[in-house]
Amino acid sequence: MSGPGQAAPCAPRRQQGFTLVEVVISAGLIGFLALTATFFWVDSLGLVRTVNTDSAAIADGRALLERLAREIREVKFNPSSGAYCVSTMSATQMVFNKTSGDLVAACSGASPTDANNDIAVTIQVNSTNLNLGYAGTLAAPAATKALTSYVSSFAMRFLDASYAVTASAGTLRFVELSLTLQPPGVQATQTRTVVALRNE
Amino acid sequence: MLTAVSLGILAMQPQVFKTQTTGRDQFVGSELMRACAERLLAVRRSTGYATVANSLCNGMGGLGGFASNPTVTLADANGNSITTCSSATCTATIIVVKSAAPAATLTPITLQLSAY
Repeated sequence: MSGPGQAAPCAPRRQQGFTLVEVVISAGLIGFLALTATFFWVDSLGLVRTVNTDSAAIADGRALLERLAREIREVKFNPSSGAYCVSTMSATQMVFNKTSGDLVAACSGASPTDANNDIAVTIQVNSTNLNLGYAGTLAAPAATKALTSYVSSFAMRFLDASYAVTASAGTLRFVELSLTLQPPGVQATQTRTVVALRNE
Repeated sequence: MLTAVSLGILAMQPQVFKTQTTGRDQFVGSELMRACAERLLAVRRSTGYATVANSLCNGMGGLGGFASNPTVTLADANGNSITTCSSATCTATIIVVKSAAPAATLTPITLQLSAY
């Protein structure tokens, strides 16, 4: 006890702030959380990119098969010779005529004129590009467009009425298209369709 | 709590790929189905109604996980199973099944053919 004239003893001071250990632990936890969040963010971006590329490849495949089918259905039939006007039939290239006006009963080859009323159409795979080209006076200027640049394989088969492979435009009735698309970093999409020729 | 959230997010990722796979299967399967329908209709048009048979799509399968050929089921006007269209009307149902995992069956399409 303090007597008269004696000063009261100081109350013990409360400790202020954090210890070094507490600061280090907090900084570590915050760093760990930031690292984890960054990992998920980067991973999500990669995932979105992959999914978008994959979806685009599937949509490309759907659109280009539809386009090719539409073109092939228009192959001109020459009633005089009883054959479709197809001048090249190989696994990677098909060249044919389609009529843009009144039917002229003759096939006009790769360079049709106004008088033929025809347009020459070329479907061709070149490395990873699948190209569709038009030529002839009615298609001037001639143009070739790449329908896709992600082809890993493409093949055409030319089939007769009994579904056997044929090399003759005279017996050609179906064209089978087999396509594999694979943009970088995504799964390949392998598909096949058949187009029946209709102008006979 | 962090672990629970992480596991939740990780569990969501395969679902995204599952959706992609489903989209791809539908594309490949529907093209296969279209090819089969195209063949049936072309045969109907070029060689006649009586030549439409349930074996016409044999040989079309074998790609993208669709190992089997499209199955063509023909039925007459009374719903009886037949192998070749012969009576006045004939119904062709085309079924496409993906056998490779993840397996999938597309909604069949039905063609109504008539002898005229």
